[in-house]
Amino acid sequence: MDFTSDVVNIAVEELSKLPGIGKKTAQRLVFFLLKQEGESVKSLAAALVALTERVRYCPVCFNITEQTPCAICEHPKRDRHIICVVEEPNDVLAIERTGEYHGLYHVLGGALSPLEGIGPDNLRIRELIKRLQDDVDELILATNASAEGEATALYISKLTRDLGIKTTRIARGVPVGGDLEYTDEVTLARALSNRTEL
Amino acid sequence: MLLSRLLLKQFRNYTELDIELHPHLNILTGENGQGKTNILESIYCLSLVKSFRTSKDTEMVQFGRDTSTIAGDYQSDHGVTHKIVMIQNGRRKSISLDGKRVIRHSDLIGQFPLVLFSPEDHRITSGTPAERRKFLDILLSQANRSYLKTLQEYQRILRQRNQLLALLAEKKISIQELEIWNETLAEAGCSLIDSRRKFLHNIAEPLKEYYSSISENKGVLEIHYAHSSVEEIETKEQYQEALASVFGKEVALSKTIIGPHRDDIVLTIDGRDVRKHASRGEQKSVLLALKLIELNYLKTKIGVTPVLLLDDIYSELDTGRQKHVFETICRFGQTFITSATRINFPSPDNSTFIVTNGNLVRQQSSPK
Repeated sequence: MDFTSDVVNIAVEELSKLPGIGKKTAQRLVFFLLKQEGESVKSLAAALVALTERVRYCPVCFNITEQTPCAICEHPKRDRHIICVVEEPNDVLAIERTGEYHGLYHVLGGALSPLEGIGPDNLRIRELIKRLQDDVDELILATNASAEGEATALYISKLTRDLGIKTTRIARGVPVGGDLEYTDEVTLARALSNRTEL
Repeated sequence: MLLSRLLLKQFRNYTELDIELHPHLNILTGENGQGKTNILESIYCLSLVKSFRTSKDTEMVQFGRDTSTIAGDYQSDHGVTHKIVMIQNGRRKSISLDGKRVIRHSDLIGQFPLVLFSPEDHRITSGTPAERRKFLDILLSQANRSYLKTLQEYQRILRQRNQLLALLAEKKISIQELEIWNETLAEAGCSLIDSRRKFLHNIAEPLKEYYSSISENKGVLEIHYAHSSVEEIETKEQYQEALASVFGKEVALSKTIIGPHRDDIVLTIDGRDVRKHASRGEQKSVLLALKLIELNYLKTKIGVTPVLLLDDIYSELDTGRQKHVFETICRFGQTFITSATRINFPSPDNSTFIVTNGNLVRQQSSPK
């Protein structure tokens, strides 16, 4: 059923396009917003507009940024000889949170998936290869541990093998602080086969 | 693990039932349509949280009612009693184990392991290779979760690769792209083949023994893994060579034509293919031997003796085979047998129930 206000109807329809949000939730959100003070809703709207107007992809690493190139690419203390390849900007965030990595990134924008029509040309692989011409010593492949992520890592490693650049894949294993007995069998089996010497 | 007591409320044609069960052998006899298989179905539900006859849980609720209950008292191999209650309320199912709510229903699977032998199982020996792969995959997945994960990953890669083959046929992509997926396919595929072959290797001897015991030494049963590729595949390199050798054909068909999803198990009696040349009686014995393997394998892998359900199978065997089945089964835990005709077991150590229209009556064992 529609509401008597078209403005409300449009807001509900727009919100229900978002991932994980159906029509019912969209209605609830709209009513919540209607009850809020005007200012806080306006600042939400302004934030959304700013997203589309000011945020873009870094022309070097394709992370999301407001400046060109992005803060990480421009940072003077970052190691420019090492590049970490990830699928999405979210993954950059995850690795940054570790505080352990000081090199540069390259965001592919997804993983190879023929079923979804994503081939190498749809990812930023060509751009990555171009970057490798500048004095890069190591490439870390940090794509997801899914079938698609593995295939993507394999594809890139084939290209870089010919270029003679050291290429590594992040290890998979037991989570820190995790009890062995609660670790799923697959992860544990892989951790065992990729064990390291002390 | 054994089921010592079963309670049913508004389940199929049982309005109310509360029975004590025999620790070894329970025989359910009665005419067709009286509710013999319904009892097996309820026990199956307690173990695997679903029916083997329908995918709709609501079908098990008595006609005209909203709720149904299945409850069972299990006794573990160590003699500890566990109470499980399953209530179907409309489409919702709630389960409690020893008074505690079970939130993830799949957690229950494997706790009360069970092996069912039903008339549909004849497909394993006489049906298409897909039936035998299914038997193998379900058994290995139940016993080993990483097999299940690898199987799911293999199927995912397979779909991706088949899509690529179609694109390649239309000349929309380069062959280099396919090679990547060949490698990931080979990795997952090799792991599956390896697990399956190891399993077959381990069960080969016990299977032979079971069969010769059931068939009274009439023939030697052997089991082999049959590769869909021309050459046997053991390593990833061999896998990729095999893929390369059928490349043209695969592109033309836009389909992956070799690998675990096309492999088969071949059963032979004295060298004759069971599927093509065995008599119906022989096929039944082979099936029974396979089911005993399933029972034994789950028992050693999960560490709990499964409950065995024989639905309408026993009475179809000849007297000699029946006798040997009985003797083999008695080495295991608890067994439930349904039969339209009366069964005379060589041992009085059992409970026989007469099933009539949603009711069970325990038959007093009368001296002959």
